[in-house]
Amino acid sequence: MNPRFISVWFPYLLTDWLARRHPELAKKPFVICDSDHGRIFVAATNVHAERAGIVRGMDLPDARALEPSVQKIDHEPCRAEKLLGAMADWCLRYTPSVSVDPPAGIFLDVTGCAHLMGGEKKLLKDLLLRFRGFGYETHAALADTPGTAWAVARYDHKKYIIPTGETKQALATLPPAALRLADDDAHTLSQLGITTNAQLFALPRATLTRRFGPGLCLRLDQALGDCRENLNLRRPAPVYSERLNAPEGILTAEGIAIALQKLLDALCRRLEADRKGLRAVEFTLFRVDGHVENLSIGTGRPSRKPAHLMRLFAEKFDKIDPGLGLELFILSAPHVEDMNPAQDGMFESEDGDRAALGELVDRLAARVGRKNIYRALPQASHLPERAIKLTEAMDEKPAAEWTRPLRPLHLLPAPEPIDVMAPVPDYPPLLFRRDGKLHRIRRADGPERIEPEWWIAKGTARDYYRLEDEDGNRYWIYRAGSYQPEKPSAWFLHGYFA
Amino acid sequence: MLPAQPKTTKAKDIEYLRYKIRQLEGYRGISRTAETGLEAIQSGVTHEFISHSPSEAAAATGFLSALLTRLMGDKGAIVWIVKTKTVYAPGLLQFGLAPERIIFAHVPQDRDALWAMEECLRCKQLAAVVGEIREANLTATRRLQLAAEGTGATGFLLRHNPKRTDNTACATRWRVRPAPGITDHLPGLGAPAWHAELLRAKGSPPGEWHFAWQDGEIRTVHPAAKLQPIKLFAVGA
Repeated sequence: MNPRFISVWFPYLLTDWLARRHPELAKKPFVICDSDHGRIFVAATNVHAERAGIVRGMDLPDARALEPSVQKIDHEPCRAEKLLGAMADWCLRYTPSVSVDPPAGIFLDVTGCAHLMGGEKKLLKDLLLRFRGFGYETHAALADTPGTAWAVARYDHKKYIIPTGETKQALATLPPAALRLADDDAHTLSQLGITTNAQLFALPRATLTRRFGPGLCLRLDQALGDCRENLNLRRPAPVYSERLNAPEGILTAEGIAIALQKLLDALCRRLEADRKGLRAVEFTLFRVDGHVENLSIGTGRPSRKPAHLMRLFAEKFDKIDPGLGLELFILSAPHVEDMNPAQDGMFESEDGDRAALGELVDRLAARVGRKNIYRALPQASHLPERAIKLTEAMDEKPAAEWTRPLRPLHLLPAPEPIDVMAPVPDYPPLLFRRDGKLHRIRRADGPERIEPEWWIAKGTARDYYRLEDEDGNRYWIYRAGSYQPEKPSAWFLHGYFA
Repeated sequence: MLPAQPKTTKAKDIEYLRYKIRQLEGYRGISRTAETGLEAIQSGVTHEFISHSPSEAAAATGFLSALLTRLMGDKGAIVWIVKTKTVYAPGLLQFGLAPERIIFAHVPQDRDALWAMEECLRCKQLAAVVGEIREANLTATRRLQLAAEGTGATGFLLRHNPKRTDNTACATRWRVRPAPGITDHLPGLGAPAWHAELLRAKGSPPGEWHFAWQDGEIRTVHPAAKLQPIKLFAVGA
């Protein structure tokens, strides 16, 4: 299939966005200003300011001289990137392969997608009408390569669709700057008298490379399709994806639930046929006002049970703000794994039990986060903090033996310093004070010396004692370092025995 | 004045009806011949443990671990909902619990923890559910109890420093305090022992017992004699 690309360009991206948020600005000339070493310059203009002769990069006083009524608005860093990201997500309705083209454009890979919208012409028209409907001045073009689409969208306002094979003719009349050249190169070319691409095509490549470096020829090849250009996709295109249109606009939770149920049924049927199970699902909801909501869930083991997945999503329904209505739903499974039919739990077996347990864990994880559901497995280390390994995997088997010396039931997250009276070296203390309370020790066990793991980090050896006070409270305390007569030792409380 | 006879039959009837209700709730109650309160801890219902200090919390956890071994044997998974990550898995080995069969869920908020515990109690595949939840009122515990009745799952609530402990729908409520260990006149700490108070139980009077973890099982013991200070060396000699 012939690759086809759309390039979308928003010449007044930031100012259109501001005018959309503050309708009172729409009819006035205004500029967005940034500052650099105390110099305030124009970073973006709207149509009215541009008509007055204000251009980007101009100093603000110069702009005021041209148009005294011009309004100045401060530049917000990263606003354009955020806006383009949201727009690119919105474009996922046309194709799963969308990429941001900074500073003010988007690329869409519509290879094999156009027929879904009734043809290329209808697709492009729909896209332009919708973006213009949102209040953005929009130019777009559809061509065989991203480079050509980019050039036509920006430099040729008469053409929209370049048919397959007519790339070179379409580019020939445009200036070399349309090939996404560096500013210096474009300037040099115009000084050399090369004003159209036709002249550029006629020049030998070797000469061009010698004069301009490899960048120019790469751009030429990319525009002509001799060299494939890889787009930096917003998200990898999922193989398993289902979509549902709702022209009426859905507002209620019941409506969303029905839509999700339909999509899940369809997706799970496909997975069943391919003997796959999904590990992650993404549910994208498109609002009529252009806002895109995203819900995603994960499962601990591969699953294709619509009822189970539905329950996981049900936890998140209250986060959806339907606004004025939802018009399109896309459900995709970015992560799938092989799954045998026996795993479905058709029989009440150990496997079925494990599946039910896995579903319970998924439900807990959907609410409290997957990293908060864990198991503790032994790890080959004598340091109590490192003797356990927390794992999120429910099927993982212990890789080491549990250490056999007695360990406390409650371990403090960090050892707490305590005041200790230990009159005899290397004997357990007689009493210790913690939070102002004195504990008299009646019985003790120890010491158990645990050496630091010098190959990982520096530290001192610890001498652990198990203590029991008058009331029967049992503690685990240690002295950091060995006993030294000339200076007092540091003692810490590290845990409680049952 | 009413005759004495009908009054006693009425009281008997009420006692009988209460017994029937407990049976419907899946709780058999404690028999009059029971020697210890351990008989009150049955599976298929929820139990509550209250602690007021870190040592008591550790004691309650130890007592509970011993009970889990006694009730559940070594089959099935256990979900343990923790408020802070203080439970130290290797410490459970002492009480015969294999740490790898426990699924920990770190849920700091009581509201989420109650939801998670109910969700777990509705799962037939779990041997038991332990929840570290500070505040659980009558409504919350009743929800848990109903969930446990539905599936026959066993739930344990560990309530550390609760603000209110008025009413509960759990079958039993305990307060466990650490007691001096059983040493049999040997040096060292000896076997862990607890002073367990049964504060309330459905259909049985409250009581107090001393338990110890000895030879891999939980046993009733007599309180250890008042301990003498350790004599590591002769002071002033």
